[in-house]
Amino acid sequence: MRILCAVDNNSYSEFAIKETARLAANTWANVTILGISPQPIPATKEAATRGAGMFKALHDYRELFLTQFRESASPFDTKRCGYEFIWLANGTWEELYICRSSMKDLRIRLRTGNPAKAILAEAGEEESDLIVLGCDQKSDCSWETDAALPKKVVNGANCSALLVTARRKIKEILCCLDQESVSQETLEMVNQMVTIHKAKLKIVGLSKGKGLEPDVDKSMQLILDYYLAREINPHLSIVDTSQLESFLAQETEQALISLVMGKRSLLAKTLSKKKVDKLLEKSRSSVLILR
Amino acid sequence: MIKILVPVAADLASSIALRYACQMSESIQVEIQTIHVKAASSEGSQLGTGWVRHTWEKTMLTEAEDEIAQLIRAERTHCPSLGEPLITIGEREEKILREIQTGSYSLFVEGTIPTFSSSYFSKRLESDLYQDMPCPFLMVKNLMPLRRVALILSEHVDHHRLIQVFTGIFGGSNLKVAVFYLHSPDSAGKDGEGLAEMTLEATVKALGERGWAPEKSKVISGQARELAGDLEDHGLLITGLDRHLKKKTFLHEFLVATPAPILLFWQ
Repeated sequence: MRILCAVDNNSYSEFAIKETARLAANTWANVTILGISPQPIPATKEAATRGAGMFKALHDYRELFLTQFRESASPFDTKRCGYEFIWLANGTWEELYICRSSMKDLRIRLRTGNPAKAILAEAGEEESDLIVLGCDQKSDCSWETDAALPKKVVNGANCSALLVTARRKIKEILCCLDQESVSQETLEMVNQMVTIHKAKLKIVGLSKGKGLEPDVDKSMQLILDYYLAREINPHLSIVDTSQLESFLAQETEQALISLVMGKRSLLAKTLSKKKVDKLLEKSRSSVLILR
Repeated sequence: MIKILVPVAADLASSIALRYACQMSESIQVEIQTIHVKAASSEGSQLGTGWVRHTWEKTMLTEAEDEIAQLIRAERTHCPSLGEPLITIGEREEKILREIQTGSYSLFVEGTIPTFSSSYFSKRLESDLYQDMPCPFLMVKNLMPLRRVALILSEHVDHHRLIQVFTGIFGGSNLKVAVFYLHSPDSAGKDGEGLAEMTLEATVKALGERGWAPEKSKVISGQARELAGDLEDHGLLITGLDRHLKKKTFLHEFLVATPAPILLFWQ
C-alpha cells in the first residue's frame, strides 16, 4: 500500500501528517509526503539548501511524521548498520558489517505548478492507494493557495482519498458501503480507521423506496460477519436514498464519514459531484472516499 | 426454561435476531423455536384445489425448508438450544401470532434494523402482530454483546411490572444490571425529579429483595440521542409501553435513538 500525503504550509497539514503516520503504523504502508509550490523553483542546489519555504516545511514534516513512531518500532527507521554473522557459500560464518535500509519507504517530495494537478499526477505516477489531505475546517474545508483544491483532488483521484478536517476525537466511523462491489481492501481500510481511532463502526445500507434489496441485504450480512470475526461489533442502519443527504448532514457532526464511490455504485448515482462537494465543505469531521 | 419464538427468513434482520437469541442462551436457559412463513403469492394462492393445491403447497414448503435449513445449520454449531424450524405458508404476521398464542412462549425475538426515519419503530409497534402480542417482545436492532442490562424507567413505566418481566426472564443469570430513570427535559421541575428519585429508589430496593444489586442507578436527562449514546455499553434495554398511547413520549424518542436491542412489554 502506498499513501500520498499532500501538504502545504498550514497547520491543517500537520493533522494530515499525523493521521498518515497512524495509518502507516497500522498498515506498514509506503508513504510519500508531497509539498507543492505553485511558483517555479530553479533547479539549483542553492534553492534547496537555502532551507526556506516549502523545503523547510517538508523537512519539519518528515520529523513530525517520524516522531509519531517513537513509542513503537518504526518501519521507517533509516539505515541501521552493525556487525552480523552471515553464512557464506563455502560453509563458514563470517561477521560482516551490514547496513540494512528501512523496511518501508518514506519519500519527501516537492512538485511545482498547479497544486491539484500536481497531487493527482504524483498519485497517478506512484500508483498511490490513498491520498491524505488536511483542510481548513473554518473555511469550508479549503486550502490556502487554492480554496477548492481538496474537492478537486477528491473528485479527480482514481484512488481513495481521506480528507482530514477533524481536530477533535473521532468517536464513530460511519461507513456507507457500496454493497455490490465492496472489496477486501475497502473493508480493511475501514477496519484500520476503526482501530486507529478506537471508534465505533456504523454500517449503512442504502434502500430505494422499500426495504433493502436482497443483494444489499446479503452483502451487509457478509460485511457484518467480516467485522464480527475481527471482534468489531458494528451498528447497522438503513437509509433511503431520498434521505441520504440529510442523514449525512446529521452524522457529520460526530462521525468520520466513509463513502464507497465506485463508478457503478448506488452511492455515486445518489450523490452527485455537487452533493459530495457540499458534504466535503460542510463536514465537521473527516471524510474518507473509498474507490 | 424460557421459550423464545424467532421468526426467520434468509435475511440480515433474521440473522442478527437468531444470533442474539443464541447469545441469550449463554446467560439463561432457553428453548429457541424458529418459524419461517413463506408468503403465498397472490397468483399461487388461487391455484387449484385438492391434490393440485396440495402438491403446490408441498413444493413451496420444500423450497422454504432448503432456504432456512442453511441459516439454522450455520447457527446450530454454536447454539445447541436451537430447535427444528417451523415452516408454513400464509400471511406472515397472522401465522406468527397464531403460533405465539398457542405455543406458550415467554418471549418473542425479532430483528429490526434501524432506519434513518423514526417511523420504522412506530410502524412496527402499531402492527397487528405487536399490538396483539401476549408476551414480552425483543427488537434486536444490532448484535451487541449481552453482558449488561439496563432497566429503563420513565413517567409511564410501571416499575413493578418491569421488575417482574426482568426477573421472570433473566432470573438466575449473572448479567450485570443498571437502572435508569429517563427524565424528559420538558417535565423538569421539583415534583418530577422527586417522583423520579422515589421510583428509582423503590425499584432498586425491590431488585435487592430479589437478589439483584444494580451496579448503577441514576436519573438521566438530556437529548434522546445523547442519552442513547451514553447507554451504549448495555447490550439490552428493558422497558414497558402503553399499548394504546398515541402521543409520542420522550421514552419513545429514546427507544428510536438507541442502537441497543430493546425488550418491551405492554402494560
